[in-house]
Amino acid sequence: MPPVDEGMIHAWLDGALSADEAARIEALVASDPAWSAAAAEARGLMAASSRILSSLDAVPANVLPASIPTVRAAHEAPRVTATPRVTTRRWRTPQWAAAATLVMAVGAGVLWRSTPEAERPAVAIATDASKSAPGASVAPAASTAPVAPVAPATPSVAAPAAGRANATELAKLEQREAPAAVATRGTASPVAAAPSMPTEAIARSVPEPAAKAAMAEAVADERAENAVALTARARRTDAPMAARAMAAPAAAATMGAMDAAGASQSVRVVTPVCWTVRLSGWTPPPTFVAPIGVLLDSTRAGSAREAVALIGGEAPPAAKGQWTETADSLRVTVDRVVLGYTLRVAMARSTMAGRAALGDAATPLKATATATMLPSRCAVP
Amino acid sequence: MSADVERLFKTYHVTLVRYLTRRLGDRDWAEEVAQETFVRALRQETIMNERAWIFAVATNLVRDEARKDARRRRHLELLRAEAEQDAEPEPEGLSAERAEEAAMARTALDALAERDRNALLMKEEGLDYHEIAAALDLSFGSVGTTLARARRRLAEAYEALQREGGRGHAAS
Repeated sequence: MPPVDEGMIHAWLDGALSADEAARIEALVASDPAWSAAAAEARGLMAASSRILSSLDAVPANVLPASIPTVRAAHEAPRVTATPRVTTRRWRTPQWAAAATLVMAVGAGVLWRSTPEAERPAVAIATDASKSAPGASVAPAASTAPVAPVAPATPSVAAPAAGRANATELAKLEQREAPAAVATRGTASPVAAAPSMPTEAIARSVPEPAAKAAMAEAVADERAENAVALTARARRTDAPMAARAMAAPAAAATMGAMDAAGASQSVRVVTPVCWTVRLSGWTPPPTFVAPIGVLLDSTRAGSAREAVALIGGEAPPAAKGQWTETADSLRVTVDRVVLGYTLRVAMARSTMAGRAALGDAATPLKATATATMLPSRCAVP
Repeated sequence: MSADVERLFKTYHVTLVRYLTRRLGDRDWAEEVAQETFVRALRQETIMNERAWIFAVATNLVRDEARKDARRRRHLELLRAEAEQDAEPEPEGLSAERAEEAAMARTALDALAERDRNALLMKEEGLDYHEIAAALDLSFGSVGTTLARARRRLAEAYEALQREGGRGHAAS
């Protein structure tokens, strides 16, 4: 065998030696500090040579993108997990007859794809208190207040607006990633408590501008507006999808004025989507009739809104969903791909025909609520 | 043979041009030498150990000093004209730093013996010891020694230039 020299060390490191020679060098390097140092030096020389020679390669100017942080941010958009912040406040409203008006602001901006109606999945709303899905808790009402009558008999169904197809980048993205389920939109009957679906972190926050832009796709529904004080408004927050209603005067309960701080969340979800809104401690009185509305909405001036689910306790549910409510929870299955939205659920103690909406009530609303929306995949009943 | 040349071109053109660019310091010239190399491959009926053959032919072409000098002058003129027209403004500090590093690397590489330089550049392009030995007409056993020497001298020369540059900057 040839004597070991520096050339053999390089050949060994370059993988050019036979197995026997390599084993010999390896043993030598392992046992002899001097050769170990020689091997280390050889590695350094090899690396240095490569680096020096690479500097000879022409490198055109402006190779790196000018806005790396921007690009990086775009690819690392924060994900919002659906882990809710659970609180367990209870209604403090003395009696529903007086003013059991609950306005829960839940949500985020409205973004949904402009899917033809015939292709939209059904909406299901169901409440199952026994499931005790972690979710929203209702904030205590400041005081009782006269209830603004709500017209429950003919729950509103939002009619698709012609100008829904405001395509945004986000909408396009959603269209690529989450094809719409196929279902028929329309009147949905209350369903027996839908099985509780495990929550999944399938929501992702999106930039507010995109969400707001897409919210313009909402469809006007005057009846929905009159039936419940629902407001949808996109606003990005970093918090989980917790929504907190706020005490607000009736005048402020008009669309766009009830947006609760921290309530909005732009989200991207995969359809169908179940939303469980927990109303902890809520026990409806026997006489309770609960017009409840879940509205996807845009608060942009001149934009339309669309009810996802409206239901009156004495009337068949309207809109594009089903829901039931029992003790403390509400499950909603959105009938479309929702990129972002805000849900506000309004519940009234009493109902009355007419166009009176909560927002029209002369008496300030006192009910406030904090809710956590739990997005999850769920089967459409 | 044309099909083989096309395959050879697709397989080795990138590495050959990089090898030649590093060797010559002139991308256009490197491209031209590479083209000439593949033209010669087209004329060759059979090529054994094709990568070694290609790099050997290219290395031999580089040795044509007269041709090199004439074309270098011409290409330098063209490059200078192009640089004046098309150069993208680069941050001055970054550009100067790169230029200084490239100049030192070029000087250090030129300080190596021809064989050491070629062996080192070929190894950087992925040629194994057998191919380097074939291309440079070396024995297999001497390739390691050649590369070890080339690497050490290149690093030492570069470090010396860095020290000189540092002293120059300090003096200024």
